[in-house]
Amino acid sequence: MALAPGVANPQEYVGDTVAREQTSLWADAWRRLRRNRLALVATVFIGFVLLVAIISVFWTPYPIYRESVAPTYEGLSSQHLLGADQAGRDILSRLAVGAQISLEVGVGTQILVVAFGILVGLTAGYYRGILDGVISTVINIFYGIPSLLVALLMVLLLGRGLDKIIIAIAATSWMDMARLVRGQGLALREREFVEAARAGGAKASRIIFRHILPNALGPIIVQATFGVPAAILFEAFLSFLGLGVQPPAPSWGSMAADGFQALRLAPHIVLAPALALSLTLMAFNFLGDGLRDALDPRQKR
Amino acid sequence: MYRYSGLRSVAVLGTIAILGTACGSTTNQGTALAADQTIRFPTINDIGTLDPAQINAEADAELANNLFNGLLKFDDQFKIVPDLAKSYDVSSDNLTYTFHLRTDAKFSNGDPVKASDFVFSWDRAAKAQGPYGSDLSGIVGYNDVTKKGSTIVHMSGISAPDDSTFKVQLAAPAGYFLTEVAAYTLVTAVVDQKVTTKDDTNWWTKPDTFVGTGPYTMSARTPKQFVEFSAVPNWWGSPQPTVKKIHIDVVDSLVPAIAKYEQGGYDIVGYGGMSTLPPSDVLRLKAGPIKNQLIFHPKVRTTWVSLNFTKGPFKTSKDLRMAFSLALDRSKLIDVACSHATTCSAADGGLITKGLKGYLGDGKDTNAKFDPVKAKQLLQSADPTGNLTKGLTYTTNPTDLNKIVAENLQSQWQDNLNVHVDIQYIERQQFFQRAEKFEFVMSRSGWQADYDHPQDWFDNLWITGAGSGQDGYSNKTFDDLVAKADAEPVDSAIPDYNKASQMMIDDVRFIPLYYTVGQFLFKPYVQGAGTNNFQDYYWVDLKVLQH
Repeated sequence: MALAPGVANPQEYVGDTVAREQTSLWADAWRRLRRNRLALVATVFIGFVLLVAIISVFWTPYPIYRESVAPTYEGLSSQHLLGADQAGRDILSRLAVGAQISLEVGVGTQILVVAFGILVGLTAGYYRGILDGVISTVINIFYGIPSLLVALLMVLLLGRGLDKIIIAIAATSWMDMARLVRGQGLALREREFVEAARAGGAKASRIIFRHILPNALGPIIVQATFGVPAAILFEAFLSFLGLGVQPPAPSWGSMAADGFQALRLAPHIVLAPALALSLTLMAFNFLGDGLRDALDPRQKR
Repeated sequence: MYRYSGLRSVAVLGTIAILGTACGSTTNQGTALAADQTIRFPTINDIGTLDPAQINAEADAELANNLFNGLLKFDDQFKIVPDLAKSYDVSSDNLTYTFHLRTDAKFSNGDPVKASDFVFSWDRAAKAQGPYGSDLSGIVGYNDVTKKGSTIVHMSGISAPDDSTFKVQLAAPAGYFLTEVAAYTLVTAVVDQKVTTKDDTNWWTKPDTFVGTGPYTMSARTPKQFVEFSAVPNWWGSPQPTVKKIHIDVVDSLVPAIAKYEQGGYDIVGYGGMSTLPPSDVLRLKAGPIKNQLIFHPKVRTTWVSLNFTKGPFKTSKDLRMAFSLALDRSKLIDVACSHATTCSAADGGLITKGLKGYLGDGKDTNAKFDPVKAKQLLQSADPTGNLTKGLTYTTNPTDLNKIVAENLQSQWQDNLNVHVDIQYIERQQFFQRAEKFEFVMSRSGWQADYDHPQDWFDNLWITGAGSGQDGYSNKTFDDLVAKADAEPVDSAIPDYNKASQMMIDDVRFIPLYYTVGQFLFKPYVQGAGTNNFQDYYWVDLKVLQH
């Protein structure tokens, strides 16, 4: 991906190969991602959800906690595009705020997971030896504990609240990331450019953060993208069970749980959050797929 | 008397127009009995207790009234009728009651029921000091038995001169004594000495050791799953039970249970104290093909919010209490919580339910009015900094209805007072235990009358130290007034009770919410099923017709 040697101004050459040689990994990835229609649609949809979530911070059609803004269980109408729930609250407004919660959980969890995973994984991968043995054992132990159990216990211990749920979910899902980064570290530390840096007298921290980490970033991003929907689903699941965010906060999971009661009378109450959840999860998964293809140099067309 | 879903229950009202529709449709099916005489219905909570000395919840009492008997009982029309006593005499000074027992009655293990069993049972109930133990407090010697640390186990006021005569000596005349004897809180019911002395706490929990006197007895039970009661062969009473088996499933929610009913898996929904169906199902069934099977019947039940008078911001500030009450639009509450206001009505006439003696009249509770402007003003003056109302929590046990109500209250307080109130859900048994220790600042309270007498409400809920009180309120003038009313004959007592009710309203002691209407589902082939304002009809009258 380095610049083609001896070419002063690549624009003079119209040959495709030369132009491609010019691009950085990221530009190249972006170009390939754009070619993947499904991933593109997914990205647009995620952008839309993000927009809705941001708007709902400042404005919703109706106050989300206000009851009796419509008759209870009312179906879709022009005033209430997605109808009203069992307490006469506007579902569209609640769904929008629910997007906030879902994205916060999804992204928040992955920030924690990425930070911790990189720290632990690179340490294990770079230094190897006893440190790696200990870390790998801990990772394996965590794999052995049922994640639902850990999350439930943590929610019980920490109390209920979005921040605590994020911590609980991160605590049960950091192992994949750590293991992936460790693997990258093990492989990259043997590469020539690392050897060169080491020969040049670079310190370990410089090698790790300037040479190994940037080269491991692609897989990390892909892994994090897949981690987002997993975290969103886990939060919705906890909330569905009544262990997630405190009602009446409109988590998609707790909205579905509320509507579940009235499934036979007013299916729209459960369908709205369920569809929003499914589409968002799908979008993140398609985006993850697209990113994986785009960021893998070996799959270059 | 009973707590519904934590409530207590029962009182008079009399008219029982129920079942008209349910039974009406049975006419074209003839009256031939089905081969399988089994009735199945669901209940949400597993049995709390079936020990007559300990019963508190309506859900338990509804079952126990088919398993145990007292001297007298209320029939389905809520008249007091003989039960184990054939007759009784009252002395001219209204202090001595002599009950003449029937001689043919037997426990389900075959032992005859003697007057000495009543002496044993009443002494045991007084000593146990269960939720209704104080029903016996008018009897001579009660205080000797219940005094803290007392080793006396026998109330000197009760005796058995012979096997079929049971005598009760009261310390002072009590107009409601016979009502309490018949009340189906069952604290005055007879239990078997053999089994209770062997294992005083667990004898009722399993079929092997369960002994009662009723037409049904426990024949199988898996805790938290199901319990089954079978007809006692050659039962001493009449009529003989037609239905041979009552099967009760313990379920988590009535939503799937109603679906099962619709598919034929249950014959009744609402029996056993489960007469509050999920609102979405009520709305759906009301508009659906089996709307004739959905029966509404008023239940003498009131729900309100208790405010803590031992700690927290409501203790000292009447303005604050009033602000929280006036901030509630009860028409919105009952629209949301009660299936568009079909299953309850706003409690605006005092806490004693409409239709009962002691009801103050529509709109008489001015705290039940919706006045957001005044509410805001009161809040401003009571809590200008907002510090008092920071971190308030409303606590309730989580039933479908209680949750909907809790969220509605939260939403209205937020909207109309701009005060955020957290909701805390605590499982029923723990909730009441802790509520009665005044641990919660705001808690859901409910009461279902045991009988049509205000004394039932005042003595159990509102006087200082009342057994089921949740607010720790204490007021000497109020207590004296209630004590005076308790001693009077009903008719002259009512004005005094009303005055006491008015005192509570003037002091904004509680936040009134709603009166309840019960909802039941009866299959058309079930004959004899129904309910009065207080209790389910007795199982002994049930019949399963061919269908």
